[in-house]
Amino acid sequence: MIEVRNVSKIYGGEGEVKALQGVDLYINKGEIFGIIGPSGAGKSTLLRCINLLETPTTGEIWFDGVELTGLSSRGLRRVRQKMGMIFQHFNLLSSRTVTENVEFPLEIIGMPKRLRRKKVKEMLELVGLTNRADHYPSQLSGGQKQRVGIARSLASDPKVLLCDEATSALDPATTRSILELIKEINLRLGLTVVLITHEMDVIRMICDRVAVMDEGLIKELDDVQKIFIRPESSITKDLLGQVKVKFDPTMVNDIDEGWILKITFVGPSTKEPIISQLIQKYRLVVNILAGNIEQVHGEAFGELVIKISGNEALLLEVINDLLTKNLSVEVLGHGRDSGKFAETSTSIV
Amino acid sequence: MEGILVNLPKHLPLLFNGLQETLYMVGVSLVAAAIVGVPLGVLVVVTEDGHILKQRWLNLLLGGVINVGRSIPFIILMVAIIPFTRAVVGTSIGTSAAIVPLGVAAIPFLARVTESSLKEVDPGVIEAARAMGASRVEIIFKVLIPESLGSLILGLTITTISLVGYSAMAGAIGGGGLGDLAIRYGYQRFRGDIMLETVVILVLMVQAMQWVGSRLAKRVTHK
Repeated sequence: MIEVRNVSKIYGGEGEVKALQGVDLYINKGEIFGIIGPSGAGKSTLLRCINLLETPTTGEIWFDGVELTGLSSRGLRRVRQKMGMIFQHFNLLSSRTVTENVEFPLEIIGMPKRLRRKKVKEMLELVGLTNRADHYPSQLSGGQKQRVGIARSLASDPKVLLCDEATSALDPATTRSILELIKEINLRLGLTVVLITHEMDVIRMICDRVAVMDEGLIKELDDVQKIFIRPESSITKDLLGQVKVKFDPTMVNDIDEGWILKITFVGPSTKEPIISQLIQKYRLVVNILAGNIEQVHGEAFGELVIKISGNEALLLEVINDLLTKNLSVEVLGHGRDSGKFAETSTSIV
Repeated sequence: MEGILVNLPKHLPLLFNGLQETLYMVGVSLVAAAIVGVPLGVLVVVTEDGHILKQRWLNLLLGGVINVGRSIPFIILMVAIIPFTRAVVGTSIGTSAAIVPLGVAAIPFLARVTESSLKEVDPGVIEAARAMGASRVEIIFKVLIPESLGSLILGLTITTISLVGYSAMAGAIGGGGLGDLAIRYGYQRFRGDIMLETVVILVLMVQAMQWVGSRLAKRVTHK
């Protein structure tokens, strides 16, 4: 659907800035693709390169079999009419009512007035704002404004929706409702969605695949679940810190005996009473230090930090047992009196 | 005070004539200046670096021309462009002749007023329009102007009121109008009553213009 080939973007002038340094990306039809990174990572520039609001310094952008950087300005405008975009600050026209805002892209594609009104009505029904049709944006809440933004971006039947930090200015509850709406539209219309965000929560809730960006480069790109279970780059781990279990490292440093394990489980295994099984089977003393469970890409994703005591052989047996259940286990630390094995290897996965 | 009121009916035709002349001068010069000045202001904004029609040299040139126009004192401009005035209206004396320098002076003023109004438009809204595939012309007429309309109306109001002030100076080339009346009767013939009546009319007129302008601006603004 969308292919970014070796795109770089360098802002000239004094103190040249390399916003993108050779990015390759392929976005499949119908997927929700997330791009996450800290501010200044280049994700906003990358998103704007897709519809050429920013012209790449080098590289190619392919959309639906057409290379965009070589298009005339007229050809490019045609292509943009097939790409919807929503923004962090909504960017609605303050001088137009909700209806007139949604009508705007239809005026641009030259749709006759009668058809425009019909289409606007459909769009407002889709986003649930029929009763606000004649309001001005200043009379709406943030969530309602973004709904107008979504209605506007979808009015001209685009093939892709670009979301530029679309929920970053909204409170958590509104964020969830907007993300649900985007997901619903993705499923109902088969619309491809590309979104950028700095919040792992957004990725967790609706994305199929995610690219992690930093310093103008893609550091990691994979299915969302895989990234959550086995993050590879340090930047991904940092970003995951936002949503993963909050665990105080001083708890690990100051123990007398036993091991501290972090168990990560996904999908069906979250429903099994693993800890209770451990206690019964091995007669272990288990102390739960931290834990949480969340939905990632529609599946449960849990993390649990526990402390267990016992001799080394038993602990290794426990870990092996857990691993056979398709869980991922990480040894975070061990007590002063614990065995040599823990001294030499602090991580078993 | 009594004297003023007693003589007012006698002065009415004179005052009415002066008011008509002022409105005529201001009205025609405003429309003429708007036809040139507003597009000029739009051009200055859109040719700026980072805007929809980046043209560095044109932008610098237009900015320079506007600055030159704005730096010439009106009284000097009026005399300096007499040949041009004569070429346009056939004479350099009278109310119609005064319209030419008034219009010319208002063009750069209005261009700057337009520029500052258009710059208030949120760049994000322009970006959204670009993302929807709007052309430059569509961005100007469907985004920039409607979004800054309230501010533009206030700018036009300021320009109109400035023109009322300038039009008084046009009396120097026999332009007529209320200002001229105040100078010739009130000042040169020591007619304090006519001076006062003229000033009162000017004050009321300016108040009315500002009121109408503010109301209109408020009506089209939904921020």
